[in-house]
Amino acid sequence: MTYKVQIDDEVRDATPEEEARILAAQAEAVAQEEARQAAIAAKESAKAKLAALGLTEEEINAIIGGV
Amino acid sequence: MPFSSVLGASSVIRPGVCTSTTRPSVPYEGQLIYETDTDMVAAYNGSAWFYTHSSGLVLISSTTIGSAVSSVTVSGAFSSTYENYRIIVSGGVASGSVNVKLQLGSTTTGYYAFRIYGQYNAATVTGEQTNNGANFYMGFASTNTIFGIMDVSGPNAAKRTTVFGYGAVPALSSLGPQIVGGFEDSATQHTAFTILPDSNQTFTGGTIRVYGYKN
Repeated sequence: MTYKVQIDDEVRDATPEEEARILAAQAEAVAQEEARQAAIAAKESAKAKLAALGLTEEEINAIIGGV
Repeated sequence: MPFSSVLGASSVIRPGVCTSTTRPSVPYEGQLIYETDTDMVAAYNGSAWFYTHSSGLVLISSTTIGSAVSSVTVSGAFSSTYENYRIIVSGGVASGSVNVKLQLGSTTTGYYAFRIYGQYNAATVTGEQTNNGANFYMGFASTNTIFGIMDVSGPNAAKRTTVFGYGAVPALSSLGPQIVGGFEDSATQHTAFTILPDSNQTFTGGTIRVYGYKN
């Protein structure tokens, strides 16, 4: 894929250095999204386990910060 | 007939046009001038000159985002003229839902920040840190629009740059409105910044406006 970058009013193809910067930002975002999804999954797992212990949804949300 | 029509735009005589160091030496009360070095209008009150808009946001630049670009750099945004800035990106579309990131100059490391965001479809709040990252979260974009606001303090000073911003996802997703704050850990004196999506998406259209906070 050819990345296009804009410098003020000029649009052109990215240089290798600029492309590397874009790809680095994307890689960081992928890692952050994976961490975010893992946190969501852990929260859901914790809620399920708390429910299995007999806590109501209201009690679970009081513990984990949800409503 | 306006005075300017008689003299012409290219005339060497341009009444009321000067610089902040070449103001009229014998002004009269009520006299107005335009300073070409500050881009400010000043009035004389009988004893001193004062700017008619002495403080507030001053538009520094307005950049229209091109078609299907993966990043947009605004050069000459920061200088010693202002300490604090506001960057607003709005309008346009992205090729898909994506975070809008902000990078200062060519610095791609040393970004520390924390963002808190909610969801439209759930009453939950989530926090997320950027620990020595490559840029800041600034806002969001989707096929509907692009939106993000960031206040930037001291980007052109030889010390850490501090930011605080907010945005909202213009689409239903597991992300919603957010606030974000942080700093960039260097003494680099930045003059430019870059807006970029954090996934394999592009921006088309919209405007990036930079304002300086005039004291």
